[in-house]
Amino acid sequence: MANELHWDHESDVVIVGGGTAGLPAAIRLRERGNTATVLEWRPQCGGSLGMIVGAVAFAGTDEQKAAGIEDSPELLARDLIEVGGAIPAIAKATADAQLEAYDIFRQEAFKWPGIVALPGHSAIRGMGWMLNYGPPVVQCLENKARKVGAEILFRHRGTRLIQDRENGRVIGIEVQTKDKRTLNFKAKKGVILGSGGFGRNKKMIREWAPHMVDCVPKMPISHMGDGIKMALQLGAATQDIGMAVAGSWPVSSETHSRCIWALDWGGIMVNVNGERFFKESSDEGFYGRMTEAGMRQPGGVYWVVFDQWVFDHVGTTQVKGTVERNMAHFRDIDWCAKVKADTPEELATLAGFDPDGFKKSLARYNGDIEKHGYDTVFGREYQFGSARPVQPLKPPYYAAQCVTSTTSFKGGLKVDEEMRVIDQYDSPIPGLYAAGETTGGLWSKSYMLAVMTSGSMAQGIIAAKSAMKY
Amino acid sequence: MAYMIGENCIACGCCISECPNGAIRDGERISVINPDRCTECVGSHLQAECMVTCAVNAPLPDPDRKETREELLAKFKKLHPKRTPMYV
Repeated sequence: MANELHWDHESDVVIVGGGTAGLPAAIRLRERGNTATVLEWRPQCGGSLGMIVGAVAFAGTDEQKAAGIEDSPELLARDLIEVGGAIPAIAKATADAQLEAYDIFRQEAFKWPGIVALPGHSAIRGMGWMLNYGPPVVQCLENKARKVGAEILFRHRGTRLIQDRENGRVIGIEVQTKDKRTLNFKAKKGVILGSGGFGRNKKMIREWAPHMVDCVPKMPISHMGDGIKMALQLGAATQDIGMAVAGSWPVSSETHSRCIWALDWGGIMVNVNGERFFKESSDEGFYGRMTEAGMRQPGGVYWVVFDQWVFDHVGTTQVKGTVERNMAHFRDIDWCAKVKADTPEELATLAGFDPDGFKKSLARYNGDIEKHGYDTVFGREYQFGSARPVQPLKPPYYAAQCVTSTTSFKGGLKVDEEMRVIDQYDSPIPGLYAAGETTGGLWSKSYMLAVMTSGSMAQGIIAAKSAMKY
Repeated sequence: MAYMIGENCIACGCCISECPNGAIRDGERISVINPDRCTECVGSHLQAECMVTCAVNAPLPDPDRKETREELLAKFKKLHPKRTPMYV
């Protein structure tokens, strides 16, 4: 039957999604002489990668060596296992391949804006920390992919995988084009799913993480879970999908602008009872568990409370004696809907949380810091990671009502260390590979900032190699 | 002023989903705002949602479409005859 199918297009490997995982996969396939077709639903490449605001974690780079930082893929793998709760084999494979992804940028002489320490990482390995440098990173990968001859088709959405009727091997994919035509794309060596997560698919969130259904999505609108859906249709298993939705950042309920920066500078979070509920320091727990805890507060809302000092310092860094300010961070705090008052009671009343409860919580927090130098309720010692010790909040105070937003989903399809999609009975589905946010296996405990980018690139490369091998 | 989207747009589509007026759609490469449906979020939000949500600061006020707050509010009422304007 499969042979009777009419094919509209043919290549060695079809890659679903022209983003973090898909572009490196296409590059590696082309470099080894295979034809590669990238299907991108949106009118531009990039996916989540275009939106990254943080850093890309590469371990064992030239920049690290030049700065005298000792790091290695082994160390990154250990961090992934210990902090993230990754499956060891997947962590090792991903950590090994991330240097190949880094190499793509080195070959293109890409200039990284700097190198920063990140919470949860045992070495300084975050390339970047600048706003709006997602687009140049995407551009670099896209240019390289085009240079080596990969075919990139925009407004093409993969909708169904096509299997060989006799042996079940994935031999192609049904594709919907911008003008609603349905085409059959033949993939001689397999299909790689790199279509991101399901953050824009309410139905899937309701199924797998019902408490997160009202979170504010902050990922590309193409994250409809297409890759996951197509693979499930073929009997794929899932991994960590219950913890898929690790909440990301608190955003203003009104303007949806990011209030996370206020916490980085010493702000606290309280619920409608005026009580704190999590350690607000941006350490390895902040990206997922902190805002997930926020979602579980009464009404799913909470308030980020900060003071004038925080407002005046958000986004500032001392660079050789002069103060530089990340205006995007400041603008976010400036834009968020907030109230201002001179006393805790007045603030709570204006904002709409319990004044007595808040007065007590704030007195305890400030008192602890004055007496012990840290908060004794949740053990907060620092404002951000292990930088800047906490300090008491002083009037005038601000409060911004927040809800949780999420930029990515951390679980997905079950894969092995070769990025082969695994079925319900632990066998690989022949001809089907997945990489990046479409997969699970790296995050069962927490998320480590900046690995979603480098890790997805690495997995794209692994998937490409497997497609050539099997 | 209605907003417009600059060439640096990455077409992630976040503004499309945030816009309270359904004024934004996919263009050939970048997202496009229909100025007749853009109220700069007057009546719906404190700030222009597209500008706040954008990861790359692509939406900007369109200098060729200068409108007063009253005109924008009138536009909101025309677009949403049954809704009470907020933050006015």
